[in-house]
Amino acid sequence: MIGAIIGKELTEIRRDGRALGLLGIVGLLLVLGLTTGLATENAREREVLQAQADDSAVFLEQGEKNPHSAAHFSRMAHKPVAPLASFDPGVSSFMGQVIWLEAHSRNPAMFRAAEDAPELSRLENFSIAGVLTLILPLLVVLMGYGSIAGERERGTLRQLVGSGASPIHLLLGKFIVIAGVAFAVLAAAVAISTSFSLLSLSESGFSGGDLVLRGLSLLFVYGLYIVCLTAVTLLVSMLVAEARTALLLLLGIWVVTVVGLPRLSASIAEQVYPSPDSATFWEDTRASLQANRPPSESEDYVAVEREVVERALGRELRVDELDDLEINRGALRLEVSEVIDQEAYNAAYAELFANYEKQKNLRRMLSVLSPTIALQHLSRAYSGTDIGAHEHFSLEAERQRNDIVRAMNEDMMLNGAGESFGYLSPPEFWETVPEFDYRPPSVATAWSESARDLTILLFWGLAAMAAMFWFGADRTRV
Amino acid sequence: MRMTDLVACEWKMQFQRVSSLLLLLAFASVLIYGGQAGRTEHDERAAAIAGHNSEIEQAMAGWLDDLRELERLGSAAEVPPATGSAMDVVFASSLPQEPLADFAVGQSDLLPFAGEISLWDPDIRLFSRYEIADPVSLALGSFDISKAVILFLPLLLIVFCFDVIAADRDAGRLGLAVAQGASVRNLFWQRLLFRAGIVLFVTFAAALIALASGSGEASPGARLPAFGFWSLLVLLYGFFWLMLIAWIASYNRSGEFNLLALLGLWAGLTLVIPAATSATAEALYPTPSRLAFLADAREVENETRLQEADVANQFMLDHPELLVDQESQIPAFVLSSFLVTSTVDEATRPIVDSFEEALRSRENAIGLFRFVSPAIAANSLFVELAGTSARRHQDYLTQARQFKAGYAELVGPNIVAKQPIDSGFYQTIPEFSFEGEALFARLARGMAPMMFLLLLSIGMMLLVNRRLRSASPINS
Repeated sequence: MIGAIIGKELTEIRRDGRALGLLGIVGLLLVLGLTTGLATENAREREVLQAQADDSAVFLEQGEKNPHSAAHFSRMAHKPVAPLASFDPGVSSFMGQVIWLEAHSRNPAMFRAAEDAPELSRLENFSIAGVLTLILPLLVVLMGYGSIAGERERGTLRQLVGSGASPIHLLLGKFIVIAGVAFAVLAAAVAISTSFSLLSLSESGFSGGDLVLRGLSLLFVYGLYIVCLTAVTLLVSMLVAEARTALLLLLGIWVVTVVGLPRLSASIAEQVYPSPDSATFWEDTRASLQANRPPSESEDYVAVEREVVERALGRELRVDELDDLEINRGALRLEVSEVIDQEAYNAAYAELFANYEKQKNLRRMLSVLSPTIALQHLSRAYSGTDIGAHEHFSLEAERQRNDIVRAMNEDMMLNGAGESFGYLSPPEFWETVPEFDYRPPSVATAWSESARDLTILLFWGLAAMAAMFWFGADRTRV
Repeated sequence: MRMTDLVACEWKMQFQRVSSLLLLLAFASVLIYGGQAGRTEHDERAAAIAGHNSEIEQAMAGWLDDLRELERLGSAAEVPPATGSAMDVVFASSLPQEPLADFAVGQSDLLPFAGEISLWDPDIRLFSRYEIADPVSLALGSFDISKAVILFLPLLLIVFCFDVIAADRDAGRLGLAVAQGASVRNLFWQRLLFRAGIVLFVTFAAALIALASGSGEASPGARLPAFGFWSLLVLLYGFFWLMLIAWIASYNRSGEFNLLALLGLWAGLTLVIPAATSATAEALYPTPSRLAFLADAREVENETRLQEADVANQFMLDHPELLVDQESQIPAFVLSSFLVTSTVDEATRPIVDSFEEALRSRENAIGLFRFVSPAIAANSLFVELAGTSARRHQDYLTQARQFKAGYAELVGPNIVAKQPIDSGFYQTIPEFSFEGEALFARLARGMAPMMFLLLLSIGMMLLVNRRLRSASPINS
């Protein structure tokens, strides 16, 4: 019976010019999204690799130089382009591409790609994920709004039920066909996007296996989204009397949950948990740095001095040895201030990222009203383009900054005794400073960080399915 | 049927239903929320600018006190060694807020609008460390009343007007009305205008609330003309959509067809075309790489440091009048930093110029697409009116760099000669002031597409009017 229903539904979709037309438009948009996304992200990746090489070369060619001056010049930490950024650029364009690993200061990532994007991109953004989130629901609505209501209006529903087809089988057949067509579009989009990303995998630190798992995860969550959309569409079509009313209602649901609420939720989250403006952030950070610095004669300060020197010498100091050591005291002060300031910087950035998390939690709460919000969180996380991925990069870059500055300060401290800031490191010293070998977090991190969003989306899918079959079993008016 | 009967009937049938009232209420709430969100953004920017100005003013007051102390007591003054160095003079700079800035956030949440101008910073780092805002809000686009109008006004018009005669025709009532002497054309236009009038009334009522809620220091006198223009743009935008709805509705098709066609047009014109245009333009007109720009700047910085003596000698040769103050307390690294920064700026200026040129040519290319999407045309005019366009922000950044270059030229000889500037001279140094394009010039750029849309709308109106003469009261 199910097979016959599926066959009949497929024939109807094939004959419906509107559904085929929209399917064609969705396909065209996906191709456009894929082409422009790949072009933009591949160019960006090439730029990153070139910039890394240039930065390394310039750093090694510094010649004889005071290490503190070199610590100010320092290195740049370039954020690799996430391999699925062409599928869903997420927030990566709004978070900066490179961090200056400067002495005394933990800088935010600069050069947000969005600043150089066309002004128009702020009105609406375009990617494969955008098309799947925004336009695919329209395809589902178009295929499904008249599924039950239309048959009821034409009187064919009564005929079908009268000929022995159970309402549940009818619903299941229609569900399989509508969700199947949408899933075929989704599978093609994810497969092509992941394959192209696999082909262009470079030295960005992502593995092929990780990429495939990310692709499968995306397939799963977008699949859940389709399940949810199809079930809601059939439910509405079942509950209302006329196909036209079903269409109006479903389009209203689409406007509110897909177009309106995701934007509004971000705006509401920003209003409730406002991000600090940069001037306030730096003013507060400066105040916290000042408050965190102990007087140079205090026990706390001396304890840090001892820790810094012991780390540089690689051994423990005797009780009174610190005062008698022949070291560059200026460099010692610099490294002590770095160690003390790290704490304040880390606290300031932790608070900033915690605020982003609060905003995300609020949006997550609002995703009870719209599964699109949860889907967007999941899509960004699995594509490696969410705030969590950026925070990971920011923390690793900060570790690298500490290592670089420490290497410079220790060189001056141990080899520049009595020379104050006149000490110059030899040209070959720069080769001993470690390179930034960044390994992005694996998909397992994204899974664990977005478990709550997945639960919400699963709940949406299950609730919509349950509602559809519950109403379908007992209350379908024929 | 008298006009008053029609209005009473329409009011009862269309707007006294709970669902319609809820829809209008939701629309008004979104608009008012948009106005409030835009105002919050604006107030935060205004507070940031005020804080920035006050911080710089305080810093320079301290600097001037030290300089006066040095001038009074000479070498006996207990002041930092670099006192009086022109290198330490910093300037406040900001992009002034336009009176209607709260109506469209535009690019102001993304691009720098205030920053310190200092000779210590090369151009590439002149505006830095500002990338703090919530990236999700940025990615989804700040919400404001103009964006709410662009997205939701057409939708409301579609929902209330798509079945202007189709509902009666589908139900078989239109034939009855015609048989009783009613004209389909009159019925069509009267209903359409009444329903659109209600939606526009709600729009302007919400906009007036947003206007009255105020926007910082801008006086009502300054806001009213801009609001008048904003209202005109909303009317033009609404008129286009109304005529599009009329055009679709004038076909002798079912309400279901009208709704599908109009929703498709709405999604295409407000979501798909702007998004596809932007993505295509980004791929076709990529800007020069900022990372490459940074790499170039660092390479020049490194080379200049390695050849610092040669660079200093060259500067001396260019300024033979200079006498280096051998007794000066100003540390050597001040001179060294000035030379490095100036050399880096000079070397990277062509890159910055080509960058700005690329941005402008891309925006010009995109400008053509304003003719195909009313959302693009309206958005560009709304942000120009609010003074929050990317172009205005770019102008500000350019002027800030030019100001810095001018100041470097003015005081460069003093810095290299290690001579402090005197307080009298300091008072004569001009402050940074943004010279913006006049509002009319800004709007003139975006008016051509709007006029095109107006002509198109009038064309559609005439076509619909002609088609309605022969409209059948029954389904074809």
